[in-house]
Amino acid sequence: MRFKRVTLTNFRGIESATVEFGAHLNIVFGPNDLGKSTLAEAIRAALLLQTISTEGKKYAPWHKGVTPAVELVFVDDGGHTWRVTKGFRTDANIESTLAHSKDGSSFTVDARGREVDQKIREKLAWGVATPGGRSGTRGMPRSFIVKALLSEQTEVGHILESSLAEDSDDSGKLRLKKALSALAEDPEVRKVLDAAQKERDRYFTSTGRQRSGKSSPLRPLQEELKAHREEKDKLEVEWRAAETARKELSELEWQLQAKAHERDAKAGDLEDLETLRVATQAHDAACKALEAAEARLAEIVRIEQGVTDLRARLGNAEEALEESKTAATERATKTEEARATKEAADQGVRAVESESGTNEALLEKARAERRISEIERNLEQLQTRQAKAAEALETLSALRSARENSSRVQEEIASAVQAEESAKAAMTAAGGDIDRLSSWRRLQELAALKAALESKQNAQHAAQKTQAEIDRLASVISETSSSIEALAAPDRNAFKATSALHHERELLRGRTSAGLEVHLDRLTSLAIQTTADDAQAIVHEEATDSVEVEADRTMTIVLPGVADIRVATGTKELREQLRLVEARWRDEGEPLLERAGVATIAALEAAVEERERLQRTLHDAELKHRTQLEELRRQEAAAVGLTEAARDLAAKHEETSGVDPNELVAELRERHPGIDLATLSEAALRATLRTRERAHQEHREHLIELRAQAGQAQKEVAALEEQTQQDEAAAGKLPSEEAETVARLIEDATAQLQQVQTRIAELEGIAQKAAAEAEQRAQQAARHLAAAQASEREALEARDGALATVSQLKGALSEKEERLAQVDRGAAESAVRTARTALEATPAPERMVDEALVEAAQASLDETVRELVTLERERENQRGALRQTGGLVVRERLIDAERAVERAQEDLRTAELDAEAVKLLLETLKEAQQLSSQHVGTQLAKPVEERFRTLTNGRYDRLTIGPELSTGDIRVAGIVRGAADLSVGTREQLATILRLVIAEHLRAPIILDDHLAQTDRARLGWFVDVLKAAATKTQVIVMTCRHDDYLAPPDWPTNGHPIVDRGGGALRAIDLEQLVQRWRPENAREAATAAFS
Amino acid sequence: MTGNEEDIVALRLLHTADWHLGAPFQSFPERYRTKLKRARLDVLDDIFGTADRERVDAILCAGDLFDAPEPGDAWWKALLKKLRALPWSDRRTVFLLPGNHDPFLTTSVWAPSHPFRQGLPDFVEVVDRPGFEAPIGENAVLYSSPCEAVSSSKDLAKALPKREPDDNRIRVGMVHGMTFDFDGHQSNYPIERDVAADRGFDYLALGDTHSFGNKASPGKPPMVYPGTPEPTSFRERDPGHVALVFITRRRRVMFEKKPVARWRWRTEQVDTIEDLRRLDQDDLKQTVLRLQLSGHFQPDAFHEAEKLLEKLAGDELNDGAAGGLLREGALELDPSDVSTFFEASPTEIRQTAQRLEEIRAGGGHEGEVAERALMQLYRLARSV
Repeated sequence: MRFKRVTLTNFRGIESATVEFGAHLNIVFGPNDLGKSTLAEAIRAALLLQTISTEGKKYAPWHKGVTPAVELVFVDDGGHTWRVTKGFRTDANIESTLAHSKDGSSFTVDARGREVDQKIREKLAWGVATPGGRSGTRGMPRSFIVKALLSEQTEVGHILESSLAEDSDDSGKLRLKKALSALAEDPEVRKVLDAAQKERDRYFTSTGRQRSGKSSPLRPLQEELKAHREEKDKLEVEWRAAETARKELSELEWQLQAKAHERDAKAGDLEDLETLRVATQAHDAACKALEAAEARLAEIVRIEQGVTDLRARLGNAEEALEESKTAATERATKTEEARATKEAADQGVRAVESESGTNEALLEKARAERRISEIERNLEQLQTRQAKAAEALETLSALRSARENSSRVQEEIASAVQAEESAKAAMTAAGGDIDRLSSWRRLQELAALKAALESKQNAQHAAQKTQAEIDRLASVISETSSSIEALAAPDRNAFKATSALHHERELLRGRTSAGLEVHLDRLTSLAIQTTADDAQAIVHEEATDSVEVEADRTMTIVLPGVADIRVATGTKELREQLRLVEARWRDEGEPLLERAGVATIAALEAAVEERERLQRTLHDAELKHRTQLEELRRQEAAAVGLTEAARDLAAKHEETSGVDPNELVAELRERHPGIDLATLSEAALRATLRTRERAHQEHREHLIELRAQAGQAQKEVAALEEQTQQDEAAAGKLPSEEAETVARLIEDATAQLQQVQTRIAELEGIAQKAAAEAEQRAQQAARHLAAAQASEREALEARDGALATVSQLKGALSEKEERLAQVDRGAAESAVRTARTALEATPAPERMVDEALVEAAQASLDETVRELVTLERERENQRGALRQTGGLVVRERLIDAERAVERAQEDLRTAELDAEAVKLLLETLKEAQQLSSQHVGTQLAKPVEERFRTLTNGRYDRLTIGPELSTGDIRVAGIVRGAADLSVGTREQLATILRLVIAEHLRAPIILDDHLAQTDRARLGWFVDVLKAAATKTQVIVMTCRHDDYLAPPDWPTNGHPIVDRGGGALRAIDLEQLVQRWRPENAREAATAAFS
Repeated sequence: MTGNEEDIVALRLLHTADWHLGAPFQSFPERYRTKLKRARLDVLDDIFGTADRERVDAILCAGDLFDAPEPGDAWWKALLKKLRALPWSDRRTVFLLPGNHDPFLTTSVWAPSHPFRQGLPDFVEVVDRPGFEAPIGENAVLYSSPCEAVSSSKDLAKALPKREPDDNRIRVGMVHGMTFDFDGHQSNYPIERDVAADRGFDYLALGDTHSFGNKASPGKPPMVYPGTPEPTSFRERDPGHVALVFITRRRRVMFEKKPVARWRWRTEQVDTIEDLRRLDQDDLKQTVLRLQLSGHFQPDAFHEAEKLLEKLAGDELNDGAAGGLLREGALELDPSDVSTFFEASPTEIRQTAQRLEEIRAGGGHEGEVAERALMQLYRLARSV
């Protein structure tokens, strides 16, 4: 903030003045009584004094009828320009305004009247309460900051006796603490705080509510978890459906098996019934067949008798025929012999042609060919043996591989078992860790409970003591309050106002106190009444004597029925002023004195001092009372739950009974060497346990798989061993020996085969020679055959005659025999025997079964089969359901989804913990900072002490400033002294430095109204430099009558140029004399005339 | 044909599976998820590049190519773009098999009406029916069946046709399912051991398990899981490969594990500052790191550890030293030495630390909050 311009009109002795300030160091100079302090006062009034305040009246010039007014333009920290305008006159409706401007020239009114002060005080935050409140002050308010920045000329050292505790509200305290906290704050702490705040703001809103919208870092994690959970739930439903389908399928399989057994049983029963039914039918049929066969046999016997007769007759005819046949046969025999001879010859030719050799050769060849066949068969057998031997060898090789594979798998199993056991042990140990940690925590809790119980008991005792002290303080407060009330003394401000009024009254009385004396001679008897000044009226009874009346200022003489004579001293204006003051005294002063029960202002002051003393006592007592009450509340709060704590302790004792703390701690230390047990986190242990469980599960799954492989490998080994044994048993020797033997035999057989084939070739040469000889023998035999055939034809013709006779008889016999043949006695007899045998073979069954019984059994079987079909259909449905639900695919996805949920839960929990953690961190940091900032006085003391030490060449150091910024001690040449003990000049310098430092940190303007008047030139020179340095940070306005203390001659303004800027605005010299229009007598008279016209 | 001629490689295959495009990686913080999801797509360039270099006849993609039957548009569009950019035409065929994660459903990307299917180039074939049969290379045939539901007890391999006695072709099977089967575990799309031998396959290409491995008995035709080409979790063993398969004319089969993963997943236990310093020395740009944090750190070590962790993790604006970071557990500050740290601090900070320490020592939730507040104060004081 900085002041830009101030304009005074009719303000004290200044008729008008406008001063434009520079942004940095301003040296405002002028001779004494020019109005420098008035200027400072005007600025204070513009900012702090209510227009309706009676204190404003003192700004009115002694000329009546004009309204003192001030207009102040300032720029706030945000760069906005403000203009405040105030007129001070209680009996006139003078409006004050507050306006703002963006461009510094055109203004918009923001507030009027009472609201102006409210807004300005809020904006300044200088520890001045807003008007109208209970803590509001009347008159010019004073606060620590006001004293620092706008101290009056005579109040230079007041800052050293003040503190923030005296402010009427906390705004100044807060503002200063904030500014000084920033000073006190370590940059590293600020960075950490900012970073923590930033992190906290990610999770929480400004009201402390956890963010839940899209901006929340937890939101994506929550959404991810939700999505994973939904996916997992969906898959679980699918998996359950698959499991249900699988179980139902399994149940159906069992039902199907049972129904199939039922069907098989019924089918067996039906088969038995069918057999019985067939046996019944067969028995009936056998009986009928026997009867028919016996009848047929009797008929055949009759036909046989007729045949016998005919055969006798035929015998005779045939004898004749035989004789002719004999002759023909002899001839035919010869023909046959010739044919045989020829046939033999032809056969010899064919044999030679086809067999190419003699019989021996043929035999040998045949033998050779048989030999070849044998050898080839032998070879085939050998090749078969060879193949078997090769297979046996392969099997043996496979057996070796299988054994190696089995051994390898066994080794892997051993290793996996070891790994699984290790993992299991690690898992068990991790589980044990959690239990141990839990027990250890319970022990810790037990210790904490013991401590808490003790603390509560102590708190209870302390609370009893505190209560006693509170009772005592309450009594003090009550008594003191009663005393204050009884005293009925006004507060200091009211007293000051009353005192000022009294002073003014006395002054006016003095000015009007000219002294009056009236000597009244009553010429006629006349009663008169006289009143002198403020005294009671005196009635003079009727008489004719003289009456003398004396008064200081006024006198009234009442001549009843004649005249009322009023005499007063002084000018009319003075009298009017006095009248007004008297009226005010009556309204304000006298009631105050009356209430206080005192007669004089001095007595009132004594009463006020007594009141203040009592108030201090009351304040101290109330403060202590509050402190003690707070202490009591704290102690009571600390003691709350004493019984429960005792009960909890007992319960915890019970809970931890049997736990040996030393043993437990030893186990935990052994398990977690080098780690502080308090740092062990159950979450971490659980995470470790989960990791171990997963590892164990993986090892276990691996082991199961390996065992399955081992089982399979063993089966393979067993199968191959069996095969090998069979091979060895079949071969009677080892496969390798068998293979060698067979190879040798094949070699031998192949050699034999070659020998036999050579022999066959030799035999074929011999066969060609034999063929030519056989051809000659065949031609000779053909000729003998032709002669024999002619002789045979003659014999045959004789035989044919006899043959005709026989033929007739045979015709008849044939007819009979044909009939006989048709009936076949043997068959008939056989049929009878067969029928009997059949009858014997088909005895009547144990149970006669008819078709109806079989049909009923068939119906029952059909029903069972239908049920079976229904069950099979249901099974197919269930298989279909299982196919739809997915089985193992769903299981795989479910496992993935469960892992995803687990991970998302962990992530969210971590993020939630982080959110809570960052909140806790920020709160704890702020608490620590708060604790630290309560001692900002120490921080403030540093720069003040540093400058003061420089100023005094190290003579002064170790300045102490309290938490409320009350100045404490300072060390002077090694001896600690109070600030009050310093010389006037030193106090003035220390106060100025302190005020400058405060102004620098508030970035607020400071007015030094001749505040270094007691400072020697050497130190003043140093101060000028300090002021220049300070003015780089904030606006400094120095009022002085010795401009050459601050300004070099070149910087002095000249006539007509009241303002000189130097250093690019760093320094502004203001010759106030050229800017101020003071009241001149003629102006005063004109104003007075205007006022009373 | 001579023995040497019969040893000529008649068929070259690249066998891959379990791409899991669009897998959500829910366990990871958001900013890593995108990175890990993209990695699954990036590795396809290496797979297709390997196929080019090895001049394979076909690429067998054995299921779970997408993480879900209806992945986001971005994923199928990205795959489609990559496939369409391949200049293979009729040189080699890519067979895509629906797995149990991305089964063949009417609403899935495999549906004929889906823009993904419609946009596929000619050399890409989708196994969209049971008993799928297609010729591959010289005298070789592929049999396959898709998963048609997310779960089933059907053995898809066992349902494939058996080798006829006079069938001398190279027979390759491709199915998606589990060979891992023992009591207490549910099997999804079970695959019988040595079903390849039973069905007369020379090689059975499998998908589902994320680790590389041959599940056939010794001496039997291979039944190979190539594993996922980019790891998807810390539980997987030996992921990050494809299988290169070579089959000779005499049907001798050789296969090779070929690394393609760009990322490595590591789990590290951090108990001391030394553990973190060691990690700081490693190049972890392509590493997804799981740190299992435990132990208490003295203030200086704690500060350094936090800095190293920040360096590893990066932040929203900057990538960290580690490609991805998952923290389990937390660093714990050992406050026993904190008071020493604050000795030289301004009074307010010292008093704050002292007060927080008092609350922390009280334990409970407030103690935990105070401990974190102390850590925050420590950080702030260090940072200013």
